[in-house]
Amino acid sequence: MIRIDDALSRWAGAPENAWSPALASDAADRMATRLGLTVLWEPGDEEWILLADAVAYQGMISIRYPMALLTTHVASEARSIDSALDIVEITEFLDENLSADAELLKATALPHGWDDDFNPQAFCANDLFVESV
Amino acid sequence: MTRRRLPAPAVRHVQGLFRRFVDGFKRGRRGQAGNLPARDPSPRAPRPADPEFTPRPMERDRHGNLTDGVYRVSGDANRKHVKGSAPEGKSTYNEGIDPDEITLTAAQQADQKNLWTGEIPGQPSSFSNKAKVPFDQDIGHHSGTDEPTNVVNVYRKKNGTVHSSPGSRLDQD
Repeated sequence: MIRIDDALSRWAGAPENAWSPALASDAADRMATRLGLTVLWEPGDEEWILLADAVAYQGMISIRYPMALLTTHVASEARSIDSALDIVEITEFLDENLSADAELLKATALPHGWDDDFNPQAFCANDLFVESV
Repeated sequence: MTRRRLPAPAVRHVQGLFRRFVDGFKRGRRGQAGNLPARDPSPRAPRPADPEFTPRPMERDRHGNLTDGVYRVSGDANRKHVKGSAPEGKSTYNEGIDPDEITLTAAQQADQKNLWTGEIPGQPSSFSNKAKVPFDQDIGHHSGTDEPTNVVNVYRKKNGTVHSSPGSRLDQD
């Protein structure tokens, strides 16, 4: 399992104005340009900006804190594109091998709770994205 | 007064008419009538703008979640897009809109018209988690554009759980 508690703890302790949707969008655009990815984001309800290639989602960047969940290939490049990003490397966007403390999730990425089929001990990046809408 | 009995063939004819009426009524209620569309979930519910849309029957599972056997609606997630319970900044459905019904209807339309990838350039081919489905009337207010909208954004997990929010109009993308 890939625990994301460390990154969420840093999120919980970060000042509120440290990041913004505009900064997240800019980081996503730079990453997409460098790596040939597509940015998928509809401002308003979506709290993560998705990055995808023609086959699969390759990761996402939060608009509320400079945290990114990125597949291995993208993660290795992302560190040189935006050093502000707190990067968690994931295996695949749909692999249910992420876990986090429930209280940390509520304090950060999922402040409005989650559906009863979301398991904080085994979820994927897509689950986190959908639950946050 | 003299009572006159109908001839037996007439009685059988009337009984047959009544039986066919009851059977048809039952089939219609179940959405099984061959040449009739499945029952609309509610009398004046918004429908997808596509006139060819054919709804699949819906029902509540034992947990109270609306389902059609393919998708299961997360009522809890939909409450974030209902006035009165929506967190600040979230898009909200208009009064009178059933968010669970419109979610499932949107998901069904997305299947029928391949909208999981069709309307959103760049969605990956292996699995896409979002569809934008236009309806035949305004259904809510989109927070990102601060405007009324007729579009439902429906989001899905790999296990078939779906929920939705009002989305930006297609001509604004």
